Amino acid sequence: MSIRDRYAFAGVGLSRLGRIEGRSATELAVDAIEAAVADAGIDRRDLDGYIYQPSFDGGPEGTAPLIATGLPANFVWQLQAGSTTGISSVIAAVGALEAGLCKACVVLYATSAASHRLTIGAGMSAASSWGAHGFFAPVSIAAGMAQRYRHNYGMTDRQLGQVAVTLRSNANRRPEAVMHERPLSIEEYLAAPYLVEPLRKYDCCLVNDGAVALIVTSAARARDLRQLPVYIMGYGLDHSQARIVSDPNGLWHWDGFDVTRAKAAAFGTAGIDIADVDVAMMYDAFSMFLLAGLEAWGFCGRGEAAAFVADGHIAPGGSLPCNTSGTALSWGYMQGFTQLTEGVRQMRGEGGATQVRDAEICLVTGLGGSLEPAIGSSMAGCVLRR
Amino acid sequence: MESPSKPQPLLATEGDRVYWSGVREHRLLVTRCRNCGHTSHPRVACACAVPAPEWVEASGLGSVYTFIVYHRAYHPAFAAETPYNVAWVQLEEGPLLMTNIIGCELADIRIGMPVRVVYDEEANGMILPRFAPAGSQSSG
Repeated sequence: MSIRDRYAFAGVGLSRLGRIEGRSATELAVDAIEAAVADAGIDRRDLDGYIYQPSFDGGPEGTAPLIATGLPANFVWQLQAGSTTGISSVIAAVGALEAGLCKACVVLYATSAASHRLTIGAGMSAASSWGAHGFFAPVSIAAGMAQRYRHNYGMTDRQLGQVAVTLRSNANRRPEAVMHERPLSIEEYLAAPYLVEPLRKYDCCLVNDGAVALIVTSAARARDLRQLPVYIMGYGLDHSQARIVSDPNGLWHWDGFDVTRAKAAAFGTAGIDIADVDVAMMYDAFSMFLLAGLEAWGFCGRGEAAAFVADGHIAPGGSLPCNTSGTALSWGYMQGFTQLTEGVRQMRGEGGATQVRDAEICLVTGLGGSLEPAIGSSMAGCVLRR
Repeated sequence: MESPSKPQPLLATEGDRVYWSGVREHRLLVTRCRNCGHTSHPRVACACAVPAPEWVEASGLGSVYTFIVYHRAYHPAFAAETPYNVAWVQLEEGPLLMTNIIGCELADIRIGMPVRVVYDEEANGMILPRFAPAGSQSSG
């Protein structure tokens, strides 16, 4: 039987986001879990599934958050699938719920990357042949994609900068966002030096501390709890072992992403097509990924995304509002959990000043990949409805 | 004081070892399916059931597919080199190779620019295949 609409989010709990000295990822995880329990109004004895993603700093110390919060936990899964893990955690939670292995499941991300002073991914290719040539850091992949995009479609830096400016404007209207107090103009964007040309620091995700916990349960149980449920309509995954950006058979190319199978599965289960999506969360570790995502998922044609953004289509009042919290570039970076959290909140009507009116269906996307030559790429999509 | 050394190429598989020993001999080796001729580097399996591809020497000619310029160093061994480029060259045989473009100014690098391999020796003795504009004089 299809999973469509049979499972739902019943609770969302968020810690503070930013540089939070003196609190570990475990303590932030506890903050988020307690907030989610209170939000859902769930008896914590019924919150008996636990899935979390280890973050770049190692994240919460094993099961320490369970000990602190007293959750019963029939299973503890540490799940690592890059930034598809937000969606993949939901898939795993639904699987456990479907099998009767838990009544309600926490999916969690917690990080103290900022207070650890991490430069995320900087050492990734030091041990591969890519490092011999001087290739380092995930931003490099986005930069190579942006260079191709400039060549293929004539994108200017001013156009590319509209991604960062639009998302920052969203974050400026959301009090909990890391960049709430810091406006960004296109002039300030262009004045920043290139980091890995053609990308600048504003094209890159934040590094912050923070945690989010979401509670997934059956639709029936969610309806009995405090909040209006956010129903899971469908999801899809695809993976290729083909080498990222160098193999024409892969899902991740210099010229964009291939989400054909992930989209077919997600939209097929959900019973929707692209025109039904009211609000979307593109994975935005880098500005270029948001543009590539818009084209791959079909919100605009290949080569049209830069103009689509520059013309205001993804702003809250536009034809396809996206990344309404400011997400990874300006709200907070918690890998795929950032986009998942805002998707759920939009469906609950909790988007505050950037709430999309009458939004009923949301597409959340994620992706994963390794810069080491031996590992491939993953794409994920999840359709939510209120 | 010793300066930090650059990462060495990774020799994790037989394919790595064959490729890098070819580089030391100033040869650019790629794999080719004995059945359909599908050429790749590193080896990418095609739909044929033929198990062992053959190693063939690529011409060394290609064009720039994309490139980036590091304005900050992510590794101490590269601190003195910024700004520097990393590029992906599409060999005329098909595969994309990560490399660096040498023999021209950063501002002159263009996607689509024809290039030719140069076997470039680093101070630490490591030889890397790099690419210069085709038709330029170089000590390859």
